[in-house]
Amino acid sequence: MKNNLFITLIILSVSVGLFAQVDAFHLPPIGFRSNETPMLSFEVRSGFQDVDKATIYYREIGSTSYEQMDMERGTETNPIFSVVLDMTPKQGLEYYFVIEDRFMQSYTLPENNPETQPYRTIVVQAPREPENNFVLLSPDPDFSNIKENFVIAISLFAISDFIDYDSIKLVLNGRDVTNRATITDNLLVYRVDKPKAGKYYYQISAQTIDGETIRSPQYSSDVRIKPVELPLGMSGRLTTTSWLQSYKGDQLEDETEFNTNANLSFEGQYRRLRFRSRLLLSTLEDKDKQPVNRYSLQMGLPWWDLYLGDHIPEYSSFLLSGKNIRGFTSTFKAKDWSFTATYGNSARSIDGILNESSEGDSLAKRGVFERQTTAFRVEVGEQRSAVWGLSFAKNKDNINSLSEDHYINPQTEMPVVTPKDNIIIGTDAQFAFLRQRLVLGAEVAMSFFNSNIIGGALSLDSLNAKLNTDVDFPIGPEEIESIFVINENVEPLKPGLNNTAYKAFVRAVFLRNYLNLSYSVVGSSFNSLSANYGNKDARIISLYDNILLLNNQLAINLGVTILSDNVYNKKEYTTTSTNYFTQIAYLPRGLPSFRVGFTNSNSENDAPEPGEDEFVSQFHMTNRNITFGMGYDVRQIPLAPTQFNISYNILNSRDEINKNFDDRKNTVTLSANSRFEELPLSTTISYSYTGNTNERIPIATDETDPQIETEKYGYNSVLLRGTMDFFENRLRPYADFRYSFYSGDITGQTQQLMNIGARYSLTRYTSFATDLGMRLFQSENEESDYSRLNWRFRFEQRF
Amino acid sequence: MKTTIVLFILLISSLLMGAEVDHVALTLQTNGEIILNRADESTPINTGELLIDKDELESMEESYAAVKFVDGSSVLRLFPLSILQINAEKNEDELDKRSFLEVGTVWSKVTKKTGLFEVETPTTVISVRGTEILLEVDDQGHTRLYTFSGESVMRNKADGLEATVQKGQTSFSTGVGMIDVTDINRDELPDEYHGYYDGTETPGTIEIELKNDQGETRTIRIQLQ
Repeated sequence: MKNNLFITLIILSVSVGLFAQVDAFHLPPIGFRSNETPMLSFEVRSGFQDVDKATIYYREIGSTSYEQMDMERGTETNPIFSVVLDMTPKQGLEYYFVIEDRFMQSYTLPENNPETQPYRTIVVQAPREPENNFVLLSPDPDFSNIKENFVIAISLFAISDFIDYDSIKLVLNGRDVTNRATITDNLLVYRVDKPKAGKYYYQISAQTIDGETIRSPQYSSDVRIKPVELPLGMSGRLTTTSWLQSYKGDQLEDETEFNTNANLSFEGQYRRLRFRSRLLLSTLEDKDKQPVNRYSLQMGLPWWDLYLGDHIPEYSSFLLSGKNIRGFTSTFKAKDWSFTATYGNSARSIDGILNESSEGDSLAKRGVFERQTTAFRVEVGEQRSAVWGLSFAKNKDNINSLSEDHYINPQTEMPVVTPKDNIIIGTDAQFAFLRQRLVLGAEVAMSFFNSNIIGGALSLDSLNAKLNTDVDFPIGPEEIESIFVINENVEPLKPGLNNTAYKAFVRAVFLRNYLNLSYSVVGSSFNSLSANYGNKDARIISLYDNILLLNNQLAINLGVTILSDNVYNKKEYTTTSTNYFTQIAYLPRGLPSFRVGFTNSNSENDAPEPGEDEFVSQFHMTNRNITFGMGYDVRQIPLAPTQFNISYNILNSRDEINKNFDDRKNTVTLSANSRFEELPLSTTISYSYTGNTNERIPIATDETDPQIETEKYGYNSVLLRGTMDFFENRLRPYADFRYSFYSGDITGQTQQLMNIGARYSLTRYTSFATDLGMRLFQSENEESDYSRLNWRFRFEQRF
Repeated sequence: MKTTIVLFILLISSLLMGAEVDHVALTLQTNGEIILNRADESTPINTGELLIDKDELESMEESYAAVKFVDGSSVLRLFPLSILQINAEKNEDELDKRSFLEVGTVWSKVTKKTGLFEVETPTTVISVRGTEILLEVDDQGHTRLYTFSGESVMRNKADGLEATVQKGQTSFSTGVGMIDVTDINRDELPDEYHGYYDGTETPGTIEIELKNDQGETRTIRIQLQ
């Protein structure tokens, strides 16, 4: 019986989740408003010190490939990983997190099948708030020169029929300046006399004829008188962050660690030449890990783009996508066509670690080969109407980048890691109709993959002998070795559908509906080392619809994804995973907002029921997730308008056939964010509880009379936080305290996390921030008790 | 009785007049000498000037003006030696903008759709459906239109002939007969418009290449900001 890799992966992901040393939690936000750049984070409830790295994989709903970004690490006393995505989703966002610990173990959030059952958050278009009825006409960042003529002009056009003009009030930097403003039927205009360098905050308010007070957002403008004017219109930013972490406990030796990151970026323009550069240097850079430092220089002319250093080129989803290449990418752009070339390293070589002992040497850690990526793409047409692309990508591990000691196990003399060679050729096309309201697209790619190129290409005779065939190829493998290494490890040796991948999609926007239908097939032997294309041997049908109603304040989305393996019937059984989901988010103006989400996934194979003394890996697992969230900004509370939020999440994962596990997790989170009107203070009070009930049959149990073990435990967390604002937000001190504890059928443990810190803006261009945090960990097992202290300092200089 | 009727009509008229849109636009920024012709008066204006329906702006040599309508939907930039009349009226909740370019050059950008946006010339009417156009009118009323994004429609006033001008296209009309639509040839485009064509033009910046008698060229970069 063939091993079912799919089942193994699912069981592995579940078991990893169950026995994880890192306990992480993420609650998807109710929704994003259009034009809002998502900031996402997850909390590490235990094992923060063991997390080596966290990555978010994300995509616009409807897209078939994920982008990836490294997440920013918090501190021991603020144990979160966060990221601000470099995209603004239009309809919705799908994402999942991958957490890697220092023991080279990976965890995912969500735990099960994250690629096909990711978190989903929908986008609700920003409702027309009353304050949006005020339109700021001037200053306009593209036209106004506020150093010389600082004119504030706010349009009343949209509300001119229902406001009381006598109630209009303009407040500038805390002063009522209405009597010096000109108010006409449609406009309020105020001229700032001789503006000085600094930030100007202003807000207009008025009463409607119904007596309701409406306010504009608080606008702000910077009058920048730069200390130094750089040539070529250059601007940029230097940021340095230093942090110190100190550990004190019984289990490990006391230790102190100090690190610094420096990030310098600048951009400018000379005539039509645009340039941008980024330099990130970190003391975390370690030759035994993949690079942390980043160097990039981008130059562009209307007909040419050049990226030097680190860059993530986007070709097509099966060829080159979402991978950082350190090298160059260059695009020549003509009117109706373009040509792009990329060359560089997608991984650098890392030496392995040899364990020397009297019983024989062994490799404690295997090495990594340098991986070189070369790619070309020709594109004809334009995205707005029709575009066709032809792409080629080659990824090859440099066998000379690692000495044999670092990839050959000295005991077995077998390689523990092998250098690979990979070629992908693909073509894609996209057609847009009705002003891009209807978009059709398709992509097909074929890969050639050699999983081990040690020894190089074989002669034709040797190859035939190894494969026990007598094929008369027109060209010998040795003759094309520089292009692709052919030996017995090529997968597959005879190209066919198994080493292809293709997809087709339709996107339609009509009647406030965003409909997306996609179909993709990835063969079991398709390999692309330069793309995040998801599962191999997978057929995926995905249908998604997002509907906006009630003036875009109500968003309903529903969809179904069906994933099955055994695409070309090479396996005995086929596993099918069906995932359907729906979410409703209602974000009205001035009223409570809510979100309800339901996800159900069902994974099963078509193996028959096993007979007596017969082992058949029959498999059926279900996963259900229900989320309810509600928020209300109670502005009526005197002195301290408060935003209340509540969310409730129920998660159930169950092995339906073998009853090996049945896990339930309930999480409730309450929070209140208050903004004090008479004090420069805002506070947050938050409480979160997670109750876990895990039932499972121990592996050694008697199958005829299985004894189910039930484990119940809970996690409680309280967070108190206060932030103050002084000197027009230039000084912002804060303090927070988090108390959390686990209780129940696991070793009891308590954590107290405290932080104090402040942000200070010395000038418009210079700011500092510092945080000091303490973490106290206590366990029923007293030997595990420890304390951690961390300090962080951040400096930012813009120019 | 007649007096009562006349007074009633006057009252209604004054109420209706009071309901009309008053200020329809303002100057975001001016450089050089911009003259405002309102009724029979001509006055130089600066940044922050409020404009009403039928106001006429005239730009002198090396002078520019950026004008924004009160619905926040669109911006016009007047180039040197141009005359533009601002016409706009409220239509329910929207502002219909029908400006008139008598001569010269105007660039416009429509960022959101709130009401009509048209620019009339002595011989044609341009309806802007997209986002960014540039319009030139010579002293004979001949009109050239460049569409840099979106699409626009040019219509002859005399014979009603129409042509759709897509992104990357330019059209030319003498006001009568065929409207010539071709792709924009960047090399034939005046240098100061290359930035619009390339999409790299900073809205607040204009570059002009000047050539002296000796054939030496010099580029002047005018910062509208």
